[in-house]
Amino acid sequence: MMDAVRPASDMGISYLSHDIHVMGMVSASVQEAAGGLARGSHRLEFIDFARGIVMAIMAWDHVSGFWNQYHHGGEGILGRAPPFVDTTWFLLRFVSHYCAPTFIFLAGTVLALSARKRLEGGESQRDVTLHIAKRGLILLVFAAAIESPAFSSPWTYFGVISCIGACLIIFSVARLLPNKVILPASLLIILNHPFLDLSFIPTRPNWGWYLRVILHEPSFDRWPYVGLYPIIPWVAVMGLGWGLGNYLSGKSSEEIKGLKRPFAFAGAASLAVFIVVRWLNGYGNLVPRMGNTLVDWLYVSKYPPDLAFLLWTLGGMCLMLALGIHIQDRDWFHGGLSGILLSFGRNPLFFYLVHLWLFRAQFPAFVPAAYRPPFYLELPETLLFWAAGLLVLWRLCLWYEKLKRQYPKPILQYI
Amino acid sequence: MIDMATLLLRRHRDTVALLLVVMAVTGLNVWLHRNDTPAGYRQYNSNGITFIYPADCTLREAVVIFRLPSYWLGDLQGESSTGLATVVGIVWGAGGQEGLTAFMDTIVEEAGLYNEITGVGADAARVIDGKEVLVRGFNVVVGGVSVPGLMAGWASPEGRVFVVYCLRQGAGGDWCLFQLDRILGSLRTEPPPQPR
Repeated sequence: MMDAVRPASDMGISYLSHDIHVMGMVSASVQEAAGGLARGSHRLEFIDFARGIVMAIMAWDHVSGFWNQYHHGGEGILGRAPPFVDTTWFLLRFVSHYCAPTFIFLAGTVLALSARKRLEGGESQRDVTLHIAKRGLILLVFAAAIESPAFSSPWTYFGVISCIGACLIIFSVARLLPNKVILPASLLIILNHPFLDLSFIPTRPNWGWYLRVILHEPSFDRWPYVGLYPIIPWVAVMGLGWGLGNYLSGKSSEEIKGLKRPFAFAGAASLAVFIVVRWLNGYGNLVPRMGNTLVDWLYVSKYPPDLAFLLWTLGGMCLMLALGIHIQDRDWFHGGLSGILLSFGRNPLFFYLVHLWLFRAQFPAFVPAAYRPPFYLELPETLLFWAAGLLVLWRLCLWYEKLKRQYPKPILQYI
Repeated sequence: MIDMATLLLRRHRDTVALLLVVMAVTGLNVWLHRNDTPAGYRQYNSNGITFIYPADCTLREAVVIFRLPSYWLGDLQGESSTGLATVVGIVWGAGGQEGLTAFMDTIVEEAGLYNEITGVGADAARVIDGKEVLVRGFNVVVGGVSVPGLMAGWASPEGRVFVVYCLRQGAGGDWCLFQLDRILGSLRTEPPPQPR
């Protein structure tokens, strides 16, 4: 397995690494020069494909959030009732639920692959730990400096990038535990975190409140101590992804191809269990089903993620992975729409940081409101803006991959 | 087939054991917390009554009856902060089953003094958590929009009548019925305080 990958790392190109995805939209000549790389890189492109899909969907969620009057989020905070004006607007938000779980789960998967590759490349455990912790810290800085201002939130806002950063720091050490501990512990957290009672942490002073927000109780009630992605449930999602990464790292290309059916089965089974959990309307639902409309069935708690939410979204992710394996050997896989999605999936953090500011494009805050044009767009206009923005992002991702090839070692490896 | 299953079980003995532990801990937690206030709800406990209500509806006293609630007379109402018209409330007073319909009529009249109420339906008998209640539909016009609502009346054994009401803009029928079930299903009353 490593033979197929080594030529890439010898060239300063690491495909398996989440950190140095420089293969990118490789030109034919690069692929030929890499020799065995094509086979090695091919194996895990289904991960980039799945991640690319959710990146594009996430961009929709944010562009709609910035520009549409009827786009709402915050599902699950205080068990709030759905504020959507109709089913269309609900579904336009609902599709984005796949993003965070897939993002975080696959971050765990690629982290496991990357860590293993570094160790097999001769790095010490200490070096790998330091590298992962450093990456986590850099993510926390990016979250405060780039993500939070894009959402007009204070730098203390604990969003998805902060959460992944914190989870990476935890995993820089937790990864030393055996898989047999990480996987059951992750499952235990996912199934039991709703029972967690943090009332022993005082909400006065503010640090107590903020600690509860960061750990398990997402809230926007006490500015600026706000957050939506608490560590405890999400680190468990990353733990499941870590387990998958460890499993994949021992597999040959043929064995990976054989995973199409298990992924499809896992996805279908998750969706079936989702229906059972929503139907029973008890355990696993932090937001109960209050009726029998489509919205009632699908309105689940994202903040924090309940079992129903994770069954639906991780089930969907499994289906995306199965689809990726199914089509990754097709001639057209690296071109057209799938090629664009692959470029997003190879550069998730770069895409994330850039897309926020691309779609946020607004007049600066110092321009008085009276002099600004109306900012709400209609749905067709927003869809057009989204599609045009994705094309721009695609070109930017390709440019960024080229840049990383030119400068393989500096700070770029962390983005 | 059995040999195959045995072989798989042996090979993954540790995994199976750990999965069983996870399931056992989860099952224990579900059982231990079976009587907890459900997620997304808060509990009210005062004036000899206990019930749960949606957590985003902060309860205010004396909205319908302009006096602070006591054991024999009072009301509470909560409005959601989500922006859409979403209201839950409870009113109680002294009385028995024979005066329940009149009590419900009085509340509709009181509410009608400050709101435009249309389409008040006939009472329908229903049993919620063993309580025999009368359910009545109505609409409140809010900002030109007709918002559907439901109210349910119940006479408690200690001589009080309760009316729980819910309304919500949009597809509110199911939501209102669900909340009535939750609130009335959780409603517990205590005997009146003894005079000293």
